Amino acid sequence: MSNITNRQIRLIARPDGPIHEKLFQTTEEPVVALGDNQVLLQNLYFALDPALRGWMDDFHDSYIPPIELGAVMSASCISRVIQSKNPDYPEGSITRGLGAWELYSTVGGEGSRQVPGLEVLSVDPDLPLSNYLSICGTTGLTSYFGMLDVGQPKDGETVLISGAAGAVGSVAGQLAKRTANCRLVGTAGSDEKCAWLKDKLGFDAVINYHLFGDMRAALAEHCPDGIDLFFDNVGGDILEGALLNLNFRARVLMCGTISNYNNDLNDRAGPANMWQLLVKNARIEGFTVAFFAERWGEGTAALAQMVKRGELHYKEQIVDGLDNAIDAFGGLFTGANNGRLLVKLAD
Amino acid sequence: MLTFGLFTARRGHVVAIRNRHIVLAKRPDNYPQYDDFELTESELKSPSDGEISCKNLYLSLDAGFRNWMNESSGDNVLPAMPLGEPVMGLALSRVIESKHPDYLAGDMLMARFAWEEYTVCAADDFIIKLPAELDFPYSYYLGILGDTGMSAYFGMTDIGKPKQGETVLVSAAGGAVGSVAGQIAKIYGARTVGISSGADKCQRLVDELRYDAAVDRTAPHGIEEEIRVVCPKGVDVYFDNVGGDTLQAAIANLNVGARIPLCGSITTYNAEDPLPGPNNMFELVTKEVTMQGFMTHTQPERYQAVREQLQAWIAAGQLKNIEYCLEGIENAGVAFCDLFAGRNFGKTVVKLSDQ
Repeated sequence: MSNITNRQIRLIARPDGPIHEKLFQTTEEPVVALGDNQVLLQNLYFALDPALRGWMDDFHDSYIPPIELGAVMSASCISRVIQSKNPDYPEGSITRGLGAWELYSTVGGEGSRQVPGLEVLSVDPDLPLSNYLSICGTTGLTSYFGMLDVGQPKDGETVLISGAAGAVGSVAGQLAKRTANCRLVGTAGSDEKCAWLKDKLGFDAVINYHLFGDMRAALAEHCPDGIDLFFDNVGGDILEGALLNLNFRARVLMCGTISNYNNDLNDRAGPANMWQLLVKNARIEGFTVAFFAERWGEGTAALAQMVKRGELHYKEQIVDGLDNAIDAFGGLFTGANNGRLLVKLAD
Repeated sequence: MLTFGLFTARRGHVVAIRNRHIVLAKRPDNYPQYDDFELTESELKSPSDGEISCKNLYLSLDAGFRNWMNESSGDNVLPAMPLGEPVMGLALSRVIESKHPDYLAGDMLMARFAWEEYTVCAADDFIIKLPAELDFPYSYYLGILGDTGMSAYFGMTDIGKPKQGETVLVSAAGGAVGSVAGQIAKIYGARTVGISSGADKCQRLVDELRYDAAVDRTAPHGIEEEIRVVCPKGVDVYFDNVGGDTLQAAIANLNVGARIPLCGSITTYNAEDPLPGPNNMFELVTKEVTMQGFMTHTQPERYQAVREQLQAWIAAGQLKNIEYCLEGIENAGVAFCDLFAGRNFGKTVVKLSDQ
């Protein structure tokens, strides 16, 4: 029997613009006893990811079904198994999977020991647990597979990264520099972020997009030999400007379109200048880390090694407590965050 | 044997040849109109050293050239066409006099020349030499065996890569490139669906081009929904000739891992200001879609091999050439405008001469 009280944040309305508190409701309920094959997880950290914003809408034909109204918000979680009726997930093990904005989650059951998407992590004791949601988690893996497998930067190329100070962009940039002797250019939203990219991460040039009305000109100035590889996390104006600076056979890796997530589909303007893809024989390649799921173990281990050797810089911004999750999530879309944004629920 | 004696000279006496051109009289505003073009005449000059003189037998009308009629072409491929000069376009031509070591009188060429009966130019631009003996009618070498067929083949084979049983959607499916692209996808074993305007053209897609089904872009519930109805298993390859709303509607119907060869963007050529692209680009991320632009003139070294493949398909009855042909240089502008008005079906050419 359990006398544990769970607390969770539920989505109660579809957003029609920026994130605000009234879209959510905090509820409490007791944790019920486990059934066969079930596991009770105490959630330790969850990640606030821009992509969650898309899951809150119901008009996408997307890879993840929309979060239903009244349901608990989703997120990638690191958890500890505190009760188990499933031998595959023994008590005390640390797991990673798609969880929810709540203190405890009961998962599994239904006659199968397999819990889809829930992996038991072999945690390196030298690394903080939070790393497994950031640099060694989905964002780091997105950078890793995106830059190294899809992008494949080469010596002498110009590599542009938008949202370069973000969790994905910053690691993607460092991986590009490790792989190829390339000119690395990043866009970010503040002078402070730009300085970090240049001084700490080895970017050759940075563009604070708030200071430029004309992205085409700004990119032309900082990418004088044109753009060969564009790792795009942002979409919108930066993509439009980049299209006008592409080199022949350029690759645009489309990882996200954060500039658009808060707009209703009908208000969204797609990027102009698509014609440039034709005349430059260029391609846009969309990808998500989910498509590399079978190789996550390899990627996680490779990133963990680089982190332990101090070869990768990364930033985590850890917000304490469930009650601060909504504010922190809203800040993702205004650039208020600084690094991979995680909510810490317990030690 | 043919003779190429139009310049036949008796010791320095060159017979003056009248050359007629269609020049760009003004820059089209939105869709091109007949009066954007004007007929002019001149006397044909002799080629200088390094130049060739050619008789143009057929002109190819290609929507993509509309872009270079704007004051700012918006790309670095070609400069904007100058006003008052013959309109740039592709021609099937015969060399009638050469002062260039690589060319002989009688050579057959596919070249980026202009809308005129004869072209005299330095032989250093985009010119592809054709075999001396041509097995198919001349116009085929501008269409299904020319750039048009190359576009369809490169886009479908290299980028689209349709597999047996996949659904391939083609926009402007009855157009020059679309009509060939759809047939190639069918040869590869795909289910082919063509987009066109109106019931008549949609019926022709199925009857003449072997499409399995057609999407009428004028359907009352909108093109996105119509694609959904006609492609219940989603779309694996979308061969895009038009851009704009149709591209957006197709993206909304893509399957995971879909490919989009971007071959043309006829809806955006007419705009002086760049038009917004599809507003659902995020679906390219979540569905891991590859969208690849291409232009055929970048791979001339492959033309010969591809032409042989296309010829083999034609000979085997698997591939049909469909043509919309007007006659006479005076109709070049008309034929070009017809493209944008959707009056064509198949490849649009203008015939200037039989020989």
